[in-house]
Amino acid sequence: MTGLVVRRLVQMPFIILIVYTVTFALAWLVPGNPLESPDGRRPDQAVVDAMLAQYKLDDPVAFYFDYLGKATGVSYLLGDAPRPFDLGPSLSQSDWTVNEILAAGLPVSVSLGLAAILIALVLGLFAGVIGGLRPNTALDAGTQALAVIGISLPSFVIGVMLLILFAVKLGWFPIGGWGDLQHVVLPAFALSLPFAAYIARLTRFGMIDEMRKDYIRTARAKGLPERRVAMGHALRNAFLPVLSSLGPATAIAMTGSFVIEKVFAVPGIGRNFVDAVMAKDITLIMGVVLVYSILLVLFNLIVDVLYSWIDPRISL
Amino acid sequence: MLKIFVPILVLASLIAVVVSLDDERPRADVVLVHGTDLFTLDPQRMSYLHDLRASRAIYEPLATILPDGSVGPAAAESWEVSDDASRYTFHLRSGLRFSNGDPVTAEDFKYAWRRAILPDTAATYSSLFLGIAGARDFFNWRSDLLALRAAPDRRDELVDAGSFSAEEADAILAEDGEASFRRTLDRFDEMVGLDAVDPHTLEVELAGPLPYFLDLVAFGTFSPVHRPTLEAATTIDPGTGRIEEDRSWTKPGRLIGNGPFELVRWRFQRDCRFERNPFYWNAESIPAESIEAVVIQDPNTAILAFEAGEVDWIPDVRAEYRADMIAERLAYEDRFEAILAETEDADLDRTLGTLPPPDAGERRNIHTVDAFGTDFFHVNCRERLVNGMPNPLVDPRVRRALALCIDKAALVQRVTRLNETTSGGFVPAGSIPGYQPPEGLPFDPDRGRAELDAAGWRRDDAGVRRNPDGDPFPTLDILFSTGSPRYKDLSLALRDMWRRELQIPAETSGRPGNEYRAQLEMGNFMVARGGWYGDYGDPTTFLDLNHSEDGNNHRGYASPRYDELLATAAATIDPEARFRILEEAERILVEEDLPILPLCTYVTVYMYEPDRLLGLTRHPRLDQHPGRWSVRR
Repeated sequence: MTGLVVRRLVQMPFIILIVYTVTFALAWLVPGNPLESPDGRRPDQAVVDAMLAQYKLDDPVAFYFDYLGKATGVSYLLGDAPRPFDLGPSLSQSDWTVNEILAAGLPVSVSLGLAAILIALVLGLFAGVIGGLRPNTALDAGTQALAVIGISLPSFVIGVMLLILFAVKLGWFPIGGWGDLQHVVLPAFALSLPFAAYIARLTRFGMIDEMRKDYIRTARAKGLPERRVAMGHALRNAFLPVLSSLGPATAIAMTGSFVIEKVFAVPGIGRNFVDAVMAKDITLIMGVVLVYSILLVLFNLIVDVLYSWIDPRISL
Repeated sequence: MLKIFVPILVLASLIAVVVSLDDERPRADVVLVHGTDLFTLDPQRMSYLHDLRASRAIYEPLATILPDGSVGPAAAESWEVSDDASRYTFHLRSGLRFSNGDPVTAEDFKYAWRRAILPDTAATYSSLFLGIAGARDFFNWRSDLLALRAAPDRRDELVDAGSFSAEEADAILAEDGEASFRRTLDRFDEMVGLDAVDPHTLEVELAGPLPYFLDLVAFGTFSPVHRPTLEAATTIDPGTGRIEEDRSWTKPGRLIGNGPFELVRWRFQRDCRFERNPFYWNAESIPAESIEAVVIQDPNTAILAFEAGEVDWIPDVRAEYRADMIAERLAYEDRFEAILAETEDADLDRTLGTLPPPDAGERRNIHTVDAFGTDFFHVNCRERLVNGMPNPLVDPRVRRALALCIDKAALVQRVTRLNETTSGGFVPAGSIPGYQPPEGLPFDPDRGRAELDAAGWRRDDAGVRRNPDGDPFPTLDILFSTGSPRYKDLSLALRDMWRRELQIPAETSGRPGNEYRAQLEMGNFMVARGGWYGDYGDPTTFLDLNHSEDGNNHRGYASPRYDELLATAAATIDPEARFRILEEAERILVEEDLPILPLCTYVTVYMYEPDRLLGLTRHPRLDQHPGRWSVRR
């Protein structure tokens, strides 16, 4: 297992470098000018030239290496930069550096994403086990129907419905924003639904499959109560496919919540990415993509480690 | 089995920890919504409306725009204007202090204005400062200096162009960036008519008479900055000589201003909070203790937050159903028509607040207020189109025909559904005290058809309009940007009106924003969606747009008569006479030449309870001052 972790960690910089290069090429090719304000008011040409020179936007090759050096900390080690891991100033949000933007948004996105996965796990496992233990009953059909709704309803519809019901009509939760656990509940719930539905289906099929197997018959034969047969034996195996889906799902939940962030006014990094692409804010695009890819690689690694821990038969 | 729940527990505790690290404060006295975060709190680099509004909380320029649109004193207690309106002497209030207690002096204003003029700062609104004597030459000189340091091989070229003497160019190339910057500061003092005579007196010499200079001075970019803070954040690149600023000086704890409030919190894309500045000269008269702007991108969520009482003011309601909400407002107004008809616009909120609350299907918390902008369509006035074809719109009679066949009332009632004030002129009516924009052309299809006939485009037996050579009227192409449904709807409506009333073929073409702008700037259009917001309280903020040499004259309109009138006005010192000349220029624009087809005054849709939020002005400049707001709870 140590071997795998080391191998993955060694691979990581190369994966990130490829992501960096491809993203940079795409971002550079996006038409438009990051220094142009959307209201169409254009500063004097001398001003535009000054800005282009300041951000090294006049030379892609120089920009590529300069940014790479600063972002990785190499420039810092060489003594060319005052700080390591400097992702540069945002081009469209000129009072902020990309580091500041990520530092503000990342904890929010991460906790929202984790909360959503948590809710998804609870809901999904619960619904999946119920359906899996009593396949083709009304209860199963009911949970399946809910799962289909969870997958197919777009999150902005669910989001607005949740807001109107629980925030405006009942007043249980604030409308939007961020600050305490109350702010997390509605967006996390809305964000969790598709994941919950997916987990429910995986668990249901897993349970149906496992419950037919020989070791379950053995467990029953030795007189274990049905609850322990299901939860202790079958679920443990049925959970494995769920677990392997959790790595990417967690990364997606933490990063792909653009719509949820917008509807619930959550100050995460998802919408920064969309805004950055719209504004061709190259430094911010690069920063967000780098963080996304690091998260994705890390979560896949964590899941692999968890995998062998939960199922000792798997050796890494 | 327990193992499965371990990750779940770890997750839950992680979330609890992260969330509990957040910093919560009590609700501010006034909470408003920003659709997107502030762009900058550096006054000299501002250009967005909400940035400039925030600047009025934390900074105060020499003068201010009063609720009726006129100019009043602010950081300056008084001023003198020379008879030829080209020299202004400002007297600062005594005892003015920054939010850290440091005194505010004339030198701070000079420093800030110099920042705005320096091309290094890349200020969008640097052009507003170029009316100061020598400012434009200084701007160009500094740009050339930077160009020279960046590319020494351009020395001969720049010397030949007269930017520098040969000795000066060599000296610049020989010195380091720091020395070049000192040279720049000396040059500024020599060239630019800006002088801090003593700590309380700022003298400004203009390049020519600018009767509206006081209005400019009240604009946010003319605010002072705290010199020690800025100097600490500034470095000079030793090679290029360019000024580089550490922009984090605009963050709470570092930003020091002279306005009624100080910045206590600014969290990216989330919120910013201002609390009363105890050092402000007029602190006792500021009604609100604290003001907070929360970022809510989704227009619908903003309205839900308002309905739930979490915010007091939405300065820009963009929800798709806003037209329906406005209809509810009109229903409410209908009920009290008699009372409201007698109410002055400035007292409207107070009167509304005393009326009985709205019934179901009515509301009084949505407000459409005229803005300082005009919605119009551009008409290409060039001889030929970009594709080389002759342009029928080069004939002013054809352009008038288009204007005469626009049913503006129908557009605002049935297309935009915002009931904007329709407009025949370019400068919004009532926005500039003392200026009376012309009526423009009415909706008169018969006259429109007559103009088209007179231009030689007569209908043949088949009903096709042809010129005397027998060529059919080319398809009128209407260019619009696809970003907003408003422009698509308006373009389709115009297409139908012109097809119906003038019997000419017309089509629309929608392009994404960037491409639309590129086409517009290239002149590759016949008719195109337009729109303009004024920057300062003078008609020229609109009229300059049609000067033959203006950078925003995308229409290729070149009228010596019009340019001449603008030049005469610029040389006229008497404000009354000057306005009459500008009115004549605008009349030519919107009644004779029609390079633009004005439709209506833009509106801004506000949402607030008129009996709760006080202190907003309805004057079209919409210069809202946080220091005037209060909420009754």
